[in-house]
Amino acid sequence: MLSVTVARRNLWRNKRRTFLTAGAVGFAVLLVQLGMSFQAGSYEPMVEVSTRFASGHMQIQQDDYHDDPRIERFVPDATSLRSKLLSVPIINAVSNRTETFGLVTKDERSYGALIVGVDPLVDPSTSHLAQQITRGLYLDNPNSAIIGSALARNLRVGVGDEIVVLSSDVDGSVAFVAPTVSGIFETGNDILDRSLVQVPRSLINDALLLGDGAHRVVIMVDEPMFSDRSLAPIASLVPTSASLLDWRELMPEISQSIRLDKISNGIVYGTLTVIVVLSIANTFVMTMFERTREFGMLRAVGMRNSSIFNMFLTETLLMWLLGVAIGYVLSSFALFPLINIGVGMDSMGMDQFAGLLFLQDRISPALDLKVILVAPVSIGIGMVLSTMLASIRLYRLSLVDALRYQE
Amino acid sequence: MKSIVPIALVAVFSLMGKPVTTSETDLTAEELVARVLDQTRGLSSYSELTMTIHRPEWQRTSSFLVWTQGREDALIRFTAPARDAGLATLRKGERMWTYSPKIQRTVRLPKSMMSQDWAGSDFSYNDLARSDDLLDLYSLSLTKVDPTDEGTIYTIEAVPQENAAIVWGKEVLELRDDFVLLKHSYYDQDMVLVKWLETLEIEEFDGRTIPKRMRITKSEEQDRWTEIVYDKADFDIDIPESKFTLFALRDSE
Repeated sequence: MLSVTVARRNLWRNKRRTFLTAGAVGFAVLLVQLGMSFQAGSYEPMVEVSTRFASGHMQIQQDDYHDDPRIERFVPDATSLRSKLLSVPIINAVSNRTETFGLVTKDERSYGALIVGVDPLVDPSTSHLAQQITRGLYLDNPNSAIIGSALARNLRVGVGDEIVVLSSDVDGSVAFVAPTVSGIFETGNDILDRSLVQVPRSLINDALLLGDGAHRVVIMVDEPMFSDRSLAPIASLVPTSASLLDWRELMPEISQSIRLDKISNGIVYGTLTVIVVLSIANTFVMTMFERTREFGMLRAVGMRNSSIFNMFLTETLLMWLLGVAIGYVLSSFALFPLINIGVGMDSMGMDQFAGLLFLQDRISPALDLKVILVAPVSIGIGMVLSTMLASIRLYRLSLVDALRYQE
Repeated sequence: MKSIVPIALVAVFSLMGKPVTTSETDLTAEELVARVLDQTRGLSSYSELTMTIHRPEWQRTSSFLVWTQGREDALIRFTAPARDAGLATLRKGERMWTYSPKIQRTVRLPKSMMSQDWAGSDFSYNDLARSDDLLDLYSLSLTKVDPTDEGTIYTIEAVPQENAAIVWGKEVLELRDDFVLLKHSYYDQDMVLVKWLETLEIEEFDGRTIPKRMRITKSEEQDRWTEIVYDKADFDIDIPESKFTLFALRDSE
């Protein structure tokens, strides 16, 4: 306790230096925390939104479908598989989807598109597409279709018009469906808006001779950033010759862009931390020179080197605490309003990019234990190491030299 | 892109013109190919065919009827299996339509679709269209004359002319001296064999000797092939012009 009191008094002896050093620590904590919280805040919505538009959190697919999607590679009896999956506690939604490439035609115009068959009553629980209908309604009858806004424009079709879809069935024979457009969606993602058509699964399965098959059994779970362990109860339900894939495998571009972002930001934060720690180390070394005679005197009155080191270390820790406190106060002033309001992607000129990567219009920073602890802990370790470095002098210098030391 | 036409399919869709006598010699490569093509020039034809699509997992047989008129018009209508019956394709020059009796709709096929497989077979829509591409866009050379017991076999190499929009590096045709095509091989730009069409049976129909049974095989997937067999063929018959209209396309009679 004595060493804490002494350390506090020592720090207060040179208030300006103490606050400058603590300020550097605080500033570094603030910057790293701000950056990391925005990162953390963008990943989960990115995964959530992209899985909601495309892959879902997980999928069961027939083996090899992912690498080489052929129409005959479908999971049979998808309806009964769905009800079995729904009994797993961590699963909150399951939707069966059939898909094929087809030619969508209207009069003399035709465009290639991905035709996805969904169960209209079920799919909205796994997909945001139903909410993106800008004209008309979601699939409202067994012979309806929803199509992307750009595709609708290209084909010159509106709500209520009939389109003819030409594809191949399981045997390779020509398959036709002629649904009526019930709605037109606009997701902001050009690829989806230009080349996606959704129809009821019953309609396309009949035409393609798929029975109750599905190419993708899409699963949504409570926690999209799940670990492999949570997959075990689901994996046991996967039929033989089918496999379970998670969003990281289904959308490698999303998980890779997350990884790339983590790496590039890690480099920036690492550099920042090293610069701050080096400047603190410099301060400590200078302090050692300044206080050489003081340390000599302390040793002369009977204090051991280790006790002096402990005192010095306590000063460091107090300074660290002060710096981290400053950082936390500053970042809470900055973060709490932002967590509630978010930052518009358009204000950063990133709205196009956002659409492409399925980001939301606004991103809000998010706090987790990692965000809160990474900067303080790494700077703290750096400061302790700096203290040890500076203290080498303490052990090297003889008592007489220390007492006679002239600045 | 303009299609490359297997001559055999040309023969499938119209076998017309005057019968050719055998053992004519001293013909150039151009003349030989022209003779094969000449057979397809005439008034009209009607034929009944069976197509077998073979895959490692399954095999499917379907039947269809073909009417042709001149060089431009053709109508193909499936009669079996039941679920394909009535499915029809109409070609008029470069344009193609297909009709589905199930949904009672006609669809105009875009050019982009022409390289796709036709009705799940190893033939493409392009293969259904026929033209004089071999004579117009290729440089032909007679590379081999092989006298055999069954007659002289001519081998002709067709290399696309420099500015022709042709995907193949070259095509090689083997013809018998009675102008029956025995084999037509397609090579890519690296001169690797991609697919070939071979005649497995030859028979006389309505006074003409034609390939009765032909098989197309892709060299990378030799366990997948498509075979077409002539069950009947009539030549130079009267077909009303109305047969080659969108109205007739819908008419399954």
